[in-house]
Amino acid sequence: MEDFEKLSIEELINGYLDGELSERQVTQVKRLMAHDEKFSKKVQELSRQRELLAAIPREKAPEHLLDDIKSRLERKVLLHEYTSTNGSYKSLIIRHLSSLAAVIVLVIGLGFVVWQVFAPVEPENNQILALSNDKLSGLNTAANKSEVKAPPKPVLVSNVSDIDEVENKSDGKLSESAVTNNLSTVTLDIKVDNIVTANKVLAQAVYSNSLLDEVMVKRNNKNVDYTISAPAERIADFFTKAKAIWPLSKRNKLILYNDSQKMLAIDNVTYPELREFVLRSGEISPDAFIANVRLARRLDSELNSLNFIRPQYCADSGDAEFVEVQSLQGDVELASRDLGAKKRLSFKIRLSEEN
Amino acid sequence: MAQANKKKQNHKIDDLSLVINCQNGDLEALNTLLLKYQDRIYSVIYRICLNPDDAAELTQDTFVKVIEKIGDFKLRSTFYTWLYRIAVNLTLNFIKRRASIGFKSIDEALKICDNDSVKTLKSYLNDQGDFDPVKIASQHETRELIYAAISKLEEQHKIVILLREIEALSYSDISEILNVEIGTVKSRVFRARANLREILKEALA
Repeated sequence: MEDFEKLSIEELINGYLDGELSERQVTQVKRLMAHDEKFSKKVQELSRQRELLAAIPREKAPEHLLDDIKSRLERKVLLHEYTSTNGSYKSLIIRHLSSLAAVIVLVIGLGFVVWQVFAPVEPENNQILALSNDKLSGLNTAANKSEVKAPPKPVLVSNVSDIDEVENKSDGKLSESAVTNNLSTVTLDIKVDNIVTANKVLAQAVYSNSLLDEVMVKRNNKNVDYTISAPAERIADFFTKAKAIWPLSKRNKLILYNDSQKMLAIDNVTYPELREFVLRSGEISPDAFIANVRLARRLDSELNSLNFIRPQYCADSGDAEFVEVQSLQGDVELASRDLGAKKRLSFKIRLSEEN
Repeated sequence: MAQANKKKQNHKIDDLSLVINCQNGDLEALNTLLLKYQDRIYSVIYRICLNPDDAAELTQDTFVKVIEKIGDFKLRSTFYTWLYRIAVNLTLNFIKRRASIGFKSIDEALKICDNDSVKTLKSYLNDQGDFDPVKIASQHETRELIYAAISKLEEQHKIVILLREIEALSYSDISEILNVEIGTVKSRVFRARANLREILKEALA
C-alpha cells in the first residue's frame, strides 16, 4: 500500500513535470506543494533539473561527416556486390556459373582441335622460361656502347596457375617469369592506398573515352577489375586519360603472355612503357617488349627514353633483335604504330589496396 | 501547445515526402535528410558513448545503414523514430563490445569546471537564486559534468533521460524507438529523473 502510494506520488510529480495532468490533478499537486515543504522542494528541484537538461544545446557533428558517409558508401558500392531481395543475386550466380561452364566446354573443344591439327612432338614449354642476362646481352648491342648497371636478375616462377599467386621475388624493378597458362589477357595489377580515389580515375577515363560498352567491371571485397576489349589505340587513349593512376599507385605489375602462353611480368611499369606496349602490341611480341623495357631501363640514365630503341624481327626465328639505336620519327614508325594501334586487345586492370 | 503539435505534424509530413523521394532515388532528398538529422543523431550518440571520435564513427554507421535500408522502410513508423532506433541500437551494441566507453568520471569533470560554475549549478538545482538554465547549459564544462552524472545512471535510465529530457521526444516516440511499452518508458523516466537528481546532489555537495 505504501509502495502504491509512493508510486502514485511519483506519477503525479512526473505527470506535473511533463504537463500531462488534468486541471484537477494540477490543483491537487499545487495544494500538496503549498502544505508540504519537502514535497514542494522535490518538485521544484526536479523541475529545475528538467529545465536545465532541456536547455542543453545540440552537439555539433563534425564538418566532414557527410563527406565521410559519402566515402563509406562509395567504398561499399565499390568493394561489395550489392544483393537484392528479388533474386537477382541468385540469377547473377547462375549466369556466372553458366558462363564458366560454357568457357570450359569451349576451351576443351578448342584444345582438342588445336591438338589434332598441330600435334606437338614434344612439349617443350611446360617448364620455366626465363630470359637470362646472357641471352639479353646478345640483344642489346646498343647497350654495349655505354656502361650501364646490371639489371636485377630475372626470377623463375614455376608452374603458377593463377596470376595472383605470382610472387615478385626480385628486389629490382624488373622481373620476368614464365609459366604454362591458358590466359591471354594482358593484366595491369595496381596496388593503391585508396581504392575509391583510384577507381574514380579509371571510371572517369572509361566515361570520357566512351568505353562504357567495351568495359566490364567486376568487384569483390578485395579488388576491382576493369576488363577493356577494344582496339589498342582506344586503350592507349584510355591510359592517357587515366594517367593520374600512376601517382596514386604504390606499385604495379604488368602481366602478359607470349606466343607460347608463357607468363611474363614487369614490375612498376611506367605510363610511357605501357602506352608503348599497347600501341605496338600488333607488331611487337611480349618477349621483345620485355627485352625492350629492360634495355630502356638499363639505358635510362643516359638515354632517358624508350623511344630511341626499336626492336626488329629476324625473318627466320621471329626473335627480337635490337639494331642500332636511332630516332624513329619517320613514316616507318607511323605506319607500324598504325598497324599496332588497330589490333584489338583484351586488357585487364586490377585495382586493389595495399595491406 | 497547438502550435507545437502543428509544427511536429509538418515536420513529420516533410520527412515523409523526403523519405518517399529518397526511395525513388532522389539524392537531393537524401542529402536534405542527412543534413537535417546529422547533429541530432551525433548529439544522442555522443551523449551515450561520450567520445567524439566514436560518436562520429557511429553516426556514419547509422546513416550508412539508413541509406542501405531506406528502400525497405515501410513508412509505418515516423522516419526519425526509425533513425533514432538505429542510432541507439548501434551505439548500445558498440558499448557492450567496449566496456571502457560510455562512462565519465564526475571527479574528472568537476576538475575542469571552475568553482563559480559549480556554485551556480548547485544553487540553480537547489532552487536558490534566479539563474538562466540556457546560460548554465551553454558552458561546455558544465555540460560535461551533467553528461558525467548521466553516465552513472543505469543504461536503461540513461537512454530514456537523454531521449526524453534532452531530445524532448514524446513517451510514445521513445516507446517506438526502444520497442517497449509506454508505461515502461514512463516508469524508467521517473526513476531516472530521481536518480540523476541524487547523483548531481552528491557530486555538487
